[in-house]
Amino acid sequence: MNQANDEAGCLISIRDFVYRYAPVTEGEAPVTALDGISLEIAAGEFLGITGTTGSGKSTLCLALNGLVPQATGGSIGGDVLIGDWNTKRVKVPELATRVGLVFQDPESNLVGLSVEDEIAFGPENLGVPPSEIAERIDWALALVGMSNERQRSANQLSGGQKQRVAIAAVLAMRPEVLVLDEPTAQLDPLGKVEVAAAIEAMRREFGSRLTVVMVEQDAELLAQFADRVVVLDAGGIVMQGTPHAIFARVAELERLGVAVPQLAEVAQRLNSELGTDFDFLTHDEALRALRPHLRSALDD
Amino acid sequence: MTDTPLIEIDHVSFNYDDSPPALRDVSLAIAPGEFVALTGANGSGKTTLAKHFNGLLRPSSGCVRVDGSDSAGRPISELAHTVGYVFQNPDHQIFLPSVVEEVGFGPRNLGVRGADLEERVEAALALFELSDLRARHPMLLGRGIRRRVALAASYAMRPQLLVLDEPTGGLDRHATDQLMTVLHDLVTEGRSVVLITHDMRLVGEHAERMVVINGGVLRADGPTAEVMARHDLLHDAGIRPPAVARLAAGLRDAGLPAALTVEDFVASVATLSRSRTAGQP
Repeated sequence: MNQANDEAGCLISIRDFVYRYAPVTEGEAPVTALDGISLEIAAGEFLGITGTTGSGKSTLCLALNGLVPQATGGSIGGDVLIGDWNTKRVKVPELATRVGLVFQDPESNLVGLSVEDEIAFGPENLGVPPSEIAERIDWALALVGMSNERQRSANQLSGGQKQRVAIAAVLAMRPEVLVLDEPTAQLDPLGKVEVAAAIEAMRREFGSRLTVVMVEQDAELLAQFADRVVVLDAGGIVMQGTPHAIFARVAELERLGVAVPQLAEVAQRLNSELGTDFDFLTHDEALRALRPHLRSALDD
Repeated sequence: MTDTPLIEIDHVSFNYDDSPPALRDVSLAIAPGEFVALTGANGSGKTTLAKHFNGLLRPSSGCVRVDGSDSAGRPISELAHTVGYVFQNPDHQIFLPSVVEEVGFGPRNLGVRGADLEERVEAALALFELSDLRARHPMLLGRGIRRRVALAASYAMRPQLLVLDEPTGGLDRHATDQLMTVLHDLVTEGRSVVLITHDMRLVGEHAERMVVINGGVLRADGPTAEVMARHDLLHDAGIRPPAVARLAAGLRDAGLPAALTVEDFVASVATLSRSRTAGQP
């Protein structure tokens, strides 16, 4: 079965996955965080996951590298497979060689060393030879645009710089899967732009050789990067499709409390007011669609 | 304006210990009934400035007047009658063992008692959808809910000016929309709101006035539409106007006016399309 999984080009298989946190107070019922998730993620895919607070997004991230349930306790049903590794059985340190995780809080991603030591930390633990570690530091820092900061203490960095170092540190371990759990949620606009640029550079460098799962409430970022968007609600998948297909469903997403790219809202509103057929999500798409429309209105 | 400003920041500079000044000669006044966005990159000084409003910080030089009189020497507990402050991290202000006690703490400290206290607490709980969670320990609730507890606690104090530092982090769209409705209701009552935020979409949709801080210096202060049009200044301050404002700017050559909200933008495209079609013979 696992072989079939690989042959289909599918790297991650989540099958009827259920997770219940142990209750915080003794005697209370356990909380169901994920309720029957089935999801296949292809090798090289950039999957975006969105949903409201408490919809299960972060829990799903933790399930991808085995922290759920190995570190969090509680009870599970179903399986999460990374290739043919079952996250129930393969231990977290081993899973970490294939699945790298960057958390939302910049402070929780770093140990507080110098930037270069932050990057070296993971590969050193994997027993990578020092000469290769040096190469990986150079490469990873260049990729995220942090080469000039390598001697600085991670504590002195801005939020956007910390998140870029965190991404570099994970990439230096050469994982097959990178999981980003709201990587820009705690950043200012400048930090968001920096991290988005680092993700863009990473996409260019790896293409389909890296599978990315990004949880985000920032719909603009999802529209920019995701091949496919999955919407979670109350621990279950309620929508999935291309960003264009998902973000065209403005009214449904609003009912769910999920953010929509502002320009997708513009397209929908124009379509209903003017009977047009706009389908843009990003700035460039909108310019391309609206320019001829405004011009033809002018020329008619 | 005939009303006395609620807050006057008068040539205020501020240093943390021996560090370079975090605020340099900042002056601004906030009148009753204003909805002001305070914006700038992380480390720009916006939180430092806001903490002067209720005496959490005191100026190194210059003067802060609250309700028309110098706030020097007036304790935070007195200034709290005028200014409420919601911290960026809800855990900095939550410390009681139940939601209902937490929400009642502020007004009780202001001397509110009996039916008035109960009415305020109930209203705040209902408004922030916390009524069913009243007996729960705030620290055992999710972060988004803890934020709502912090917001409800400040709301229950009914301050003349409510300062909110990044209140929407961790809130989903629904909770954000609800919060904005509450803030507009406060403004309608003649109270004032200062919203510190990175979310320029919120600023464009809700704030009448926008203040930009960069490097501890007040760089812009005016009607939101005017400030949002100053793209170079905003770029230097690490601020990106909302997507719809950038799109409108990109289509200026096609005849589109500036826009801050989806509504503005759609209306001007519609007008332009119709007027041009109507201009046909």
